[in-house]
Amino acid sequence: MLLKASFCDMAETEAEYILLALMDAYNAGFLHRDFSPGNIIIGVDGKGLLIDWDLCKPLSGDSENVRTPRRATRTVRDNYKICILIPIPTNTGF
Amino acid sequence: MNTHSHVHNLFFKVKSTENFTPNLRIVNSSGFPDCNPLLDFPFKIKPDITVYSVDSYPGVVTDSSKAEIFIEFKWKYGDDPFCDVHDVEHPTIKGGRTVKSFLRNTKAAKDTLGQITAYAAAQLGSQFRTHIYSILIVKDTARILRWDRSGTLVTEVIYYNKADHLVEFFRRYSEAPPEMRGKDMSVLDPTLAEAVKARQALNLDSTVSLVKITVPDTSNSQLHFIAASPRATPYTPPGRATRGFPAYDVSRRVPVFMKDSWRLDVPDIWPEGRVYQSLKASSVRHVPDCLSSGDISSDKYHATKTCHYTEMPWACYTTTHFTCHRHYRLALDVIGRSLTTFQSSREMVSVVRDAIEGKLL
Repeated sequence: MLLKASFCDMAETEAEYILLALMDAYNAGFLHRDFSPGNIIIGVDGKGLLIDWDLCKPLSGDSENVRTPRRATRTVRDNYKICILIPIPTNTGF
Repeated sequence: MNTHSHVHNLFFKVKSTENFTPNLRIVNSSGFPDCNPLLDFPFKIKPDITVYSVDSYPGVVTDSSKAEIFIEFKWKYGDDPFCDVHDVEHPTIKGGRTVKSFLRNTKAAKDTLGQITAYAAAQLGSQFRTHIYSILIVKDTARILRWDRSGTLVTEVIYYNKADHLVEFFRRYSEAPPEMRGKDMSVLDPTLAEAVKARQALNLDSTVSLVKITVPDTSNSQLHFIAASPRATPYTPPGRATRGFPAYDVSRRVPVFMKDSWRLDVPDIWPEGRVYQSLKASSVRHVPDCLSSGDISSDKYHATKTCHYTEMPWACYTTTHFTCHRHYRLALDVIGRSLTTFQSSREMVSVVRDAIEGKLL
């Protein structure tokens, strides 16, 4: 692939190649959607391995949904607003 | 009356329910910070009351790694994160549409919400639980909350001096089987012999507590992996709650990487094991081998429930999307080093290149 052949030059035009990588991955049928340094590990042979494919979407699905950005992770310092109200029954017991 | 006296009086009121809850131990923990050694929080939590199961009472006052239920008291109605149901303008829809809410939008209310959320995060993060319950008491009112990886269900106020719902909740909780309380029964204690072998394989000393975790195998059997007990991090409960472990494979007697998470239970996102299978079938390089994977147990307890109640007529609307999650585990054949542990700049660049190749193919 063009991108693989050009990796030697990656340092010169990193942004361009990352963009190309995302486009090529899209065309290959899978979108990782969680590509970050935390999801690259160094194997026993010293080579990199890409892990955490649990947000991956096959591109044959709803393409609009695939483009949906991921939500940021919340810490407990943030306001947590995910709540629903359950009415307490008045005469049927809990 | 000062706060200490308030806590003391209310504690004895809650403690009196022990007549109906023989399987629970109720402890006044208001003056004792959490001593859970597996808590990676930048602050100490200090719930007013901690409820333990009698068979897992740790012998210390506050321990979020063993607690069943935390109870928090507030002395001013203004500290209540919740209020009566009221109409609010929907922030994302033009045209003035109103929706029902019961969230109080003040700093004091948000502080309380953050506080009880931290308690839930500590429990869920340091234990293996599908869900937990907590109680918030504001003066003469109480609310029962149920937390899972999709969101939180909150009851209307219970006037506990007039209605018996709270006592009835504790009575039922005391009688409930562990799974119904939220305990993950697919996690066990390793045998002594297994623990010795696991410590050797994982290079763990005898002070590290271990758990034996079940992972479904492709042939409908189950594999067991032994790992160090998880550490709780300060993230809100909803989400995938991924926990990764270097683990000892009991049947193959080798170290592997095990991942415990709550996968998104939506049709267009595949379970991760299936993705690895497809990537391998396509000869994608720089992707580890998945040894086993699958959903944990049945969806009776190991699937989130909150997401199913959002459309109920009594449910208040929130702007947050509730995603259903399913409890999932997988084991990989390699325990990799973190990218930040690279030994040279050349190694880091080549590792990133390898990973991107894996992504492209």
